[in-house]
Amino acid sequence: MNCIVPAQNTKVISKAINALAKVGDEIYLEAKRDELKLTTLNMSKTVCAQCCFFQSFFSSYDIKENQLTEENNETITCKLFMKSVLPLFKGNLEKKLEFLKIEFDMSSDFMIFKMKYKFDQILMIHKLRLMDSETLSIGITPNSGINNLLASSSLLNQVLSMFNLSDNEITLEIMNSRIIARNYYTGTSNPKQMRCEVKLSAGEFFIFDVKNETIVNFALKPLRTVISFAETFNLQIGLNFDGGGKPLTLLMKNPTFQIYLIVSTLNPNKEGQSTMSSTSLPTTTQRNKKNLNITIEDQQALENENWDEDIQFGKINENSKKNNFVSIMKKANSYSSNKENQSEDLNESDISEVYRMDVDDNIDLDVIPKSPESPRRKKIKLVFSRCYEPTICVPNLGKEINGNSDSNNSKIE
Amino acid sequence: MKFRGLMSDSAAMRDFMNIATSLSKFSKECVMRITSRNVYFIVCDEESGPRRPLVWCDLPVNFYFKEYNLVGVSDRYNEIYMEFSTALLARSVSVLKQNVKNLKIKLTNKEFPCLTLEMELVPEEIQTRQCVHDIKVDIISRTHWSNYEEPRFNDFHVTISMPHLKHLKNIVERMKSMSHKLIVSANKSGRLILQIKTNTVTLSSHFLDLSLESFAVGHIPNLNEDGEPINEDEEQEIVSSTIDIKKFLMFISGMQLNNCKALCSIVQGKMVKLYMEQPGAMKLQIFLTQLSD
Repeated sequence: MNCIVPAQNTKVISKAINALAKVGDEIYLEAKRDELKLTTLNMSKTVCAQCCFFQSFFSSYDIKENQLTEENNETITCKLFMKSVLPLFKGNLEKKLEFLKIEFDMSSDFMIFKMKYKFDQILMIHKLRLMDSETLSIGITPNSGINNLLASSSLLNQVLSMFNLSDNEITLEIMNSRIIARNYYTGTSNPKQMRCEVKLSAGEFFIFDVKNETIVNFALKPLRTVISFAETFNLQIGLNFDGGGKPLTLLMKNPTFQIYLIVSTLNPNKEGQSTMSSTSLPTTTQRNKKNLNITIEDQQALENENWDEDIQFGKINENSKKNNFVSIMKKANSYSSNKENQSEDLNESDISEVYRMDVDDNIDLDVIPKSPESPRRKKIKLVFSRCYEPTICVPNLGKEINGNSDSNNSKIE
Repeated sequence: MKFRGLMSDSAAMRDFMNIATSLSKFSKECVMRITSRNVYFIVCDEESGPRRPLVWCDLPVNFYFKEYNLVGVSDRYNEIYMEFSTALLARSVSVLKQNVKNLKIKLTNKEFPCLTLEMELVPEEIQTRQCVHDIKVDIISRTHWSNYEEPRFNDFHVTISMPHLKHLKNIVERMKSMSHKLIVSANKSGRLILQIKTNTVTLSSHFLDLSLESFAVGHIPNLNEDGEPINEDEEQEIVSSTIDIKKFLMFISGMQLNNCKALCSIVQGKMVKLYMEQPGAMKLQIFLTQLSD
């Protein structure tokens, strides 16, 4: 893959990456025939951010056709550390750069960023090492919600300016003709903070299409990220959702790129939704079958085998039952690669380590752990520690040569 | 207890915002005393010991409020005292920087007693947007009201008008880096002197020809080093007090008020009072006591 970002668009890409950096620590990069996607997911899987740059965003966008196979779903994927990417996009790039070129070859372990500066004919080449290749699939289609709102970034900014700076959640009560934004929901307000409520009429939105009156509660951090991005490029912010407890999409569109954040939400009026785990986004990561050279027959055999009973492999954890085939494949892959070329692929062995730990967990399930020792017993052990040592031997002091001195004395008498 | 006030004059709202912002710079908490004629903001000394007002600000009701309803604790004591965070009030009224049509201040009970500020914004010509803020307040019971009585001092040795606060601020800021004590003195001829003394340097700045409001003649015995009275010119007769430079600076720089009259009153060796007045709109008194050695 080879693509060139012209100078005026470097600002967009750098702001976009800075926005992604506020969400997650890893960037998943997906290149398709006509678009480049950067995706990131936060640790608790409650926020997912994706930037999609269309072909027209680049001054040249070129992908080798032979790399787009059916096997990889016609996409080139790789994964990068956010920490390594972020320093490249600091400062006013659009003023300094003539262009930015991104190069990536499927077989290489590196992604190359070439930055051509306007002055002094400087060409800076950054080689960023890739993380083990994975693809991220999100089980949500953005923009599929039935409620649709579109607002200017300044409107949302004004609303947030009325909130406390330390607020981290927003609750939107959505009604047919208006919206009430609050920084609390009934019964959970913090007396040390100011409670805030802003009533917005439908007319303040460009699009106000509400089919389902609902209450949604979500984190403010992604919203703040979106607003600051939208303000720099004067974009409108779309909100798309079904209702509280279902994911909400924050969407920004431009003819050459679009950015959306999927945020998990709560419905404060519903019970049993208080934990974050129940609200996390349905996303899955898949390791790429890059080095897998197994014939179809083998694959079928692998599929039919009941791995749960196999002790030798023994790398089955509960989660793997869900994405059966793929996980088995990667286990098989990691196992074999581990065995065959341990030194070659460090990451692979890392993975198998993790699985081995899982196995240990499963085995230990039946063993009841010892009850903790009482403090008294501990003290005894401490004082008489020598007695508990396995090497204890009673000291041999030799034969008694002389009798008891007391009795000796009595004899003399 | 009931309280509700409606503000709709933009000048009044701006002044109210400035006062709230200034208060937030003086202290974390403040007491609001609501009476039928005035609304008071009182900031007390945060140090332990008997509570003495440090800042006393009174706002006439008829200047700020278009509508005003008050039902106090009882018919006899038709007042309300409550305490709340100044930072939250300042944060809330900072919305008034935008185009606000009116501001309603109410005492409400939502889960806990709240001071509710309702602002009606007019972002565009036609539409309005409503913003409601609730700040938790603690109602002060009548037994504690005596802690917040207005301090009345009339016997100042000298009362002199202050020069422009901006100039003062610049000078005092630099003095603060060298010493923590500030000697404020004034004499009969309209001279205000701000002075710091350290082991290595004595620095004083003189402001001349300020108008003198009052001067108590002969109250202060001027003693020389041997303890004998000096019979010199009355020009030399000087009143001074040593105060905490940090607090002085806090008030000078915290004040966001424009074109108001500022007076400085000194009791020899006891205290300095700063008085600021915007006729008809606000009176602010700040009491800075002598720093013990």
